[in-house]
Amino acid sequence: MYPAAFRYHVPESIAEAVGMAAELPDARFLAGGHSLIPLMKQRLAQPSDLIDLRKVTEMRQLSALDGQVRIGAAVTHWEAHSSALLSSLCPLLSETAGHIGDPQVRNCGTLGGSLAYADPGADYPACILALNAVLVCESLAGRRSIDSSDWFKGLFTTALDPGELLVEIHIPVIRGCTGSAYRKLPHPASRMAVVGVAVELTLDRAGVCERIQIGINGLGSNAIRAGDIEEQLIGRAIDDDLVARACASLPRVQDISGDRFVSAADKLPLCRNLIRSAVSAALKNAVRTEV
Amino acid sequence: MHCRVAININGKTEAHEIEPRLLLVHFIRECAGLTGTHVGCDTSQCGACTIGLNGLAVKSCTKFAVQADGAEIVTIEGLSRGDTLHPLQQAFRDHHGLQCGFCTPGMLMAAKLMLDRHKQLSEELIRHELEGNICRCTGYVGIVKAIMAASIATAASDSQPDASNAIEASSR
Amino acid sequence: MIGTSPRRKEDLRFITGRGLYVEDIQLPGMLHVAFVRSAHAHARIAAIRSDQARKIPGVVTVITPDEMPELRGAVPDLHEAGTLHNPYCDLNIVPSQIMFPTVVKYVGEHFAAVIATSAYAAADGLEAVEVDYELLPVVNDWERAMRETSPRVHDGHGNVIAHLAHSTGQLDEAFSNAEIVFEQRLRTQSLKSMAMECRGSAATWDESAQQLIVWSTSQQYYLIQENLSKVLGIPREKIRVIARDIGGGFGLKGVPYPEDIIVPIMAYKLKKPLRWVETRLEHMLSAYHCGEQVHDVRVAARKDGTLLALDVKIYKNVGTYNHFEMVTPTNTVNHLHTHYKIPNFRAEAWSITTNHAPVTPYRGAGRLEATFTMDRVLDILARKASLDPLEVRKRNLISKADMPYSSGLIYRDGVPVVYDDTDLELLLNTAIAKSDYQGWRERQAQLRQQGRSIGIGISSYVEAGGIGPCEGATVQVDDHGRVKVAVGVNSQGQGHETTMAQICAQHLGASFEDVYVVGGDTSVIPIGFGTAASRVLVNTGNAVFLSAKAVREKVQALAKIVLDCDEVEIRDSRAFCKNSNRSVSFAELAAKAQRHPAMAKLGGPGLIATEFFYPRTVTWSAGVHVAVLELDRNSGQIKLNSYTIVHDCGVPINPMIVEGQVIGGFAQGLGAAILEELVYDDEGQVASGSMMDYAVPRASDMPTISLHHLVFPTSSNPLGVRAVGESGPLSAPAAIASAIEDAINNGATISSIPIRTSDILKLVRSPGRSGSDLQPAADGRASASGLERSAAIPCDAEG
Repeated sequence: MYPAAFRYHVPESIAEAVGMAAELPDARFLAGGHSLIPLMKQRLAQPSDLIDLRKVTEMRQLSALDGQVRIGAAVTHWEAHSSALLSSLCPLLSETAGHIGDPQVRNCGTLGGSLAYADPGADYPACILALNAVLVCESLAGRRSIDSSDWFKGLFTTALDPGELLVEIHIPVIRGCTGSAYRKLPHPASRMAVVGVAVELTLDRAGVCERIQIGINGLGSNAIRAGDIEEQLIGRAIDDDLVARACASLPRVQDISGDRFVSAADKLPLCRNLIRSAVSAALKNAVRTEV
Repeated sequence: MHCRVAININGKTEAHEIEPRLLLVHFIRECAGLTGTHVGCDTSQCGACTIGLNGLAVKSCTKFAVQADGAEIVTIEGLSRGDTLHPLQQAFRDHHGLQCGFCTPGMLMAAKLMLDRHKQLSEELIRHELEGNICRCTGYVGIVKAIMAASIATAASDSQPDASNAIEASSR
Repeated sequence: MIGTSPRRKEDLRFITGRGLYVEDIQLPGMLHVAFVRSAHAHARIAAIRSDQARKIPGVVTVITPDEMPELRGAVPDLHEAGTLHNPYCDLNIVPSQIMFPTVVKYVGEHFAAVIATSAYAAADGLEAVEVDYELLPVVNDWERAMRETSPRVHDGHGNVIAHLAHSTGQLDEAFSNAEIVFEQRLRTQSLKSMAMECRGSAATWDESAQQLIVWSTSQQYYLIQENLSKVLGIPREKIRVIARDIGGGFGLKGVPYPEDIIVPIMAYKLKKPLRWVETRLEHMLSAYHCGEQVHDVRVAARKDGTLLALDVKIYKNVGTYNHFEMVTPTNTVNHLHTHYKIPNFRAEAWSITTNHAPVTPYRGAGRLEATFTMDRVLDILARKASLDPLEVRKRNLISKADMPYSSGLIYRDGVPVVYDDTDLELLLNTAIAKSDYQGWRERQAQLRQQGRSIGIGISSYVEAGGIGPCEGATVQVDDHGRVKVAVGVNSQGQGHETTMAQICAQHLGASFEDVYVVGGDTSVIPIGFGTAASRVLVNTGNAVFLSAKAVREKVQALAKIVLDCDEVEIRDSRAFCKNSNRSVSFAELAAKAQRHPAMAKLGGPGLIATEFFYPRTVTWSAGVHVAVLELDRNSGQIKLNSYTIVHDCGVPINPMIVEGQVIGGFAQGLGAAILEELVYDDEGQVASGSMMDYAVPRASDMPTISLHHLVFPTSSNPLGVRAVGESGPLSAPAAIASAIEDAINNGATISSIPIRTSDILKLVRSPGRSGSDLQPAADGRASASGLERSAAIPCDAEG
């Protein structure tokens, strides 16, 4: 397949990139390109201009600061997966990164690209919901921070304004006895998530769940938090029976989409299984960290 | 609009005036004339176009050549040293890791970068790491055997730097 | 040499990136072709406006039927209408296929072409071509298409375009005497072969040689030469078709496609070198597929599990055209008995046209369908008779004592089917022992107590292969001692350059290193019949044997004269005088053979011979698969614990290559069992139109396979070889379906493939339900994207 012609720009800073975007209304930012380029090859996307972020080094930083992990939006899945910093301070994100696509995709695809594209079958969205991430965006109008709970606005739709660039993702570092896990049923062909569940939880010294956050992708048109289930688990000593009972309330999603492999109706029980499995794995992690 | 792009492929600089929309795989095939790298799927699934780009396995059908300006690329044509086959090439031949040969260059490049990245490979890890490469002929059995054999053969002589450290350093 | 596994000769160019596939052909001044393809399943092309397209930089021209009236003609028919030699067929209509039609009959059908200086510019031009369509009614569902009231795909006749019938024994009597009678609908899906290389064609007119040179991805490259000769009215020797390195075929590249000749015709007319390389998305729409096939079976048996009768009605959705008459349903009928006695049998089949892309045989070609049907029948019978599935199989097995066994079937070459020189009992017993069937039965019972669901499935297949008419081979020794083997077939990965060299080396007495094989080029041997139907080893292999033997006789005769001795021995490319130390090399003999007068009585100058092998009929290969898997009842996911294959393909020329064929074939069977399906929606649009939704197995999907060869050489050809190319996939869907059903263990029947997560969950929840209630094709018809939306329905599957 052969993409349509476009003009190509390589800014070297965020300021330069958003300046270009403001001038070029039909431009698209290009990071890893693993969502955009296949669309362009099929001519389903024909941007007039591409603004390549490969030289914007400030978007490739990874750091820990003020109780937060700050991840540049152009950090690749492989960088996230293999980062020692992330695996110690934010293991859910590095674990999730390892589930995305395949090695070649992980070598190119970026955290910011995945979140900005907001594919319902992408893996990161559940993860950033479970992590209470904050997404930092920049445009000519300046910077603003968007809570992950306000980020997804529907199928392939986010809170990003035209011309705005997602530049950084901030994730609070949780101390204490914290565990996390990502569990996924991959689509047999695309290997995207048919359903994916990300869980992060913190236990007190008695093993009672102080906090738990569950993000789910693949069910509806965008990733969601399983708030009802979380509520039933907080303040309790979690075991599989309790999770199974709590899962009965799942979910209030009205637009579940199925495909030829898994029907819409079957996604719910599969999602419940994944929640049980992810919570169970997170509990094991948490215990191990404490010891 | 044309851009001048210079990419080092297998140690040789290929500088060409190209349209920005030219995919890297077509730059390699048409501009550099290296037709070993193949196109199999259009949707970044099959991996027949896999090359090494600055030491990382990349699907060259999902990258514009302009994005690789100044990069160093290794393709299947750069895998052997003269007439001496790379241990992976020999192992693919020894273990019947190919039939029609179409996915083979991508498989070999994916395997090469897998060996570079992972000090120790198991059959399970090899299968997991081949997620991005589809072969329709072999059922993968010969491919997995070949990579395992090459991994054992190179383990002794090899002292690759830890790839994960290298990435951590480059991202700062 | 035969029976050993030397490294493949062809590998060196492939592992170093020096293969030469069609897309690698670069010619000075070469232009690129992109086909304008129909967006609709059935429409009249009212107008093609190409003015805008022609203005696009790089676009050279747009070829429409007005532009090049030759393309208003039909693709030469693959065969004549009528019943041909098919012994069962009583109706066979062959609608002709116009190269650039004015009425398009499937989504993706081509009707014009853009020619440009690059593939990118051609794609730009394609986007700018405007087409007015007058939509016509879409015939989408084969069952509705059979009704008199259905809209028609072709004018002048109904949608049922072929029919066959055959019976043996006394069916009605058998049913009236039966203790067990049941009916079942069994369905196999349409599959794409998904070779990693899509189709392509490059062509140039060589002015000095006055020759049209064509590079093709076709398995049937002689047919392209023949068709071009017919359409262009130029002699065959003025057309050279090269189809050497091909990135997989599996039957899908075995039909001569219109594009295969349109590209060369345009190159000839325009006197410009052209290249067309199909994209994958184009391939998913317009390359052919195997076609859905539905089997309505009625079974009669005794309560001890003995089969009395099988009555089967087969419905084949052939898409738009009827290229391969009734090959697939005929193969299904002739492979249905697999390893079992069916004393009374009746089969009837219909081919039905729809507005889907045309179908063509895919690896297995009706045999996978037959195997799935027969093993499903035996598993249902086992449940009805309360017997272990193995016991039912043993009670109906064709035993050694029954050999030679005539089933009463007639192969499509007109020769009655006879199984001989084989031992189906030993195949089954070996598979049972190697798979630890009894051990797994015990573990299954124990694990069931713990709530774990193990399933065990058995399937047996036969593969008729090696159909004629014949193949030839030329063996020639040159004065460097190099031995050329020229064959009239090409390889899509089968390794002919190695196996044919092994046969030649062994029977000529040459060193394997000295032998090289050329094929895939109409200039190396004038007549060939293509690589398909697992026919190359049986036909070409034996032709190589005959030619090598003929050259060996010349070597022997000349060596006796040259060495002046009565008896010579030939080995390692030399002739040795027995009882002396004198010897002469092939190189020296070949040099002498050019002018030596003794050659006058040895068939002429040179150490060269061409021989043809005509098989009397097909050979029969056989095998047994045993699948053991565990089912997670909550998630509907299965994990194969072990997979055992026991097979016989006669004498294996190169065991490594045989294993590659069997295991690679199995992977395709695994895909058919649980992953793959080409789905059309209600508008005739392809709903699984990319590798994002058409799932083929990856490395992590494959189980560990335990493979065992049994060798029963056949006496029907000099090499004792049987076909192997199509054996691999045949039993996988049946064995896996059987094992999943066994794991579910609630009386449910799996009656359709592929078996997807939701199909399994539905059966787990619904004891005794038949999988056919799932109507698998219906899911994908919900919308063009294959996405189905529904409100959340509370649903409890936890077990």
